[in-house]
Amino acid sequence: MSGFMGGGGHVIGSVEADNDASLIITGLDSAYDTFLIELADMMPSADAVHAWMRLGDAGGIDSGVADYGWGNNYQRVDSASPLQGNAQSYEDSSDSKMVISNGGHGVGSTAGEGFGASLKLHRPGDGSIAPIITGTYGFMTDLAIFTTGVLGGRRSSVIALDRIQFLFSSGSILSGRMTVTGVPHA
Amino acid sequence: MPRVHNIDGVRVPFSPGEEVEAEARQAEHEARNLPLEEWLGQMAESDMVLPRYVEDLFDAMLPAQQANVSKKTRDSISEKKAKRLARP
Repeated sequence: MSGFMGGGGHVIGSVEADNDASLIITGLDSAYDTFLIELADMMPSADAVHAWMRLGDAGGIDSGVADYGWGNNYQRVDSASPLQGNAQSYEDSSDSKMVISNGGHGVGSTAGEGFGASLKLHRPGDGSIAPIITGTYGFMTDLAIFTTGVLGGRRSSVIALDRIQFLFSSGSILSGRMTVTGVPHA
Repeated sequence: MPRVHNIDGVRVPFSPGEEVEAEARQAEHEARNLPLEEWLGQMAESDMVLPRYVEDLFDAMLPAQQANVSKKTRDSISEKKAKRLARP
């Protein structure tokens, strides 16, 4: 399958949530060095949750207490107070997941709220560095404040990466879609 | 309802170990958010009595003008500001 930005990107997989606790796409391999991860229209079942991402290999998804490091810089778009006061950052160098939605508050579950992100995984399945992702995200918080930010995260060890997982910190994913596309290099 | 992963479009039930971990996450989430939900409810209730724009108008007034506002309204504004500062 092709269609990446009008070019020849290959859709590795695309899954649509229907009250699922997590979304997992497998099949990431060494045919591509970079993968795009698109998280669209994600609606949590629980209010004030965070969006998480994890990586894994043929043995399953990794969730050890020190498997990941991550950092976010975000801007809360809140007309009730100065914008400069709402730009902050969060990080954790040793965590069981990559948090990809920080903004002072969690993702809201009221109609019209929810989460979306566009991420890149900068390594082929058999790469020699510990896997790194970077990207941008946006969401409406549980206090109905739009928040947008940039993020980076890494798996703390070199693994034979073949899968990624998206989930919320609690509850399920009522609706939304995750798509992974391999970026061609030839 | 049992939790499931959606793996490449196939629903796979959580393992017993994953269920335990998910239950713990849910309990942590609820413990963290209950005080906030209670506070949000109280603020919403206070909005019905004293909308935010009334506070803003009051804040824009000179002290001498504020003194002319009824004590009951001034007390309500003070109470609401204190409640806002107490956000969990």
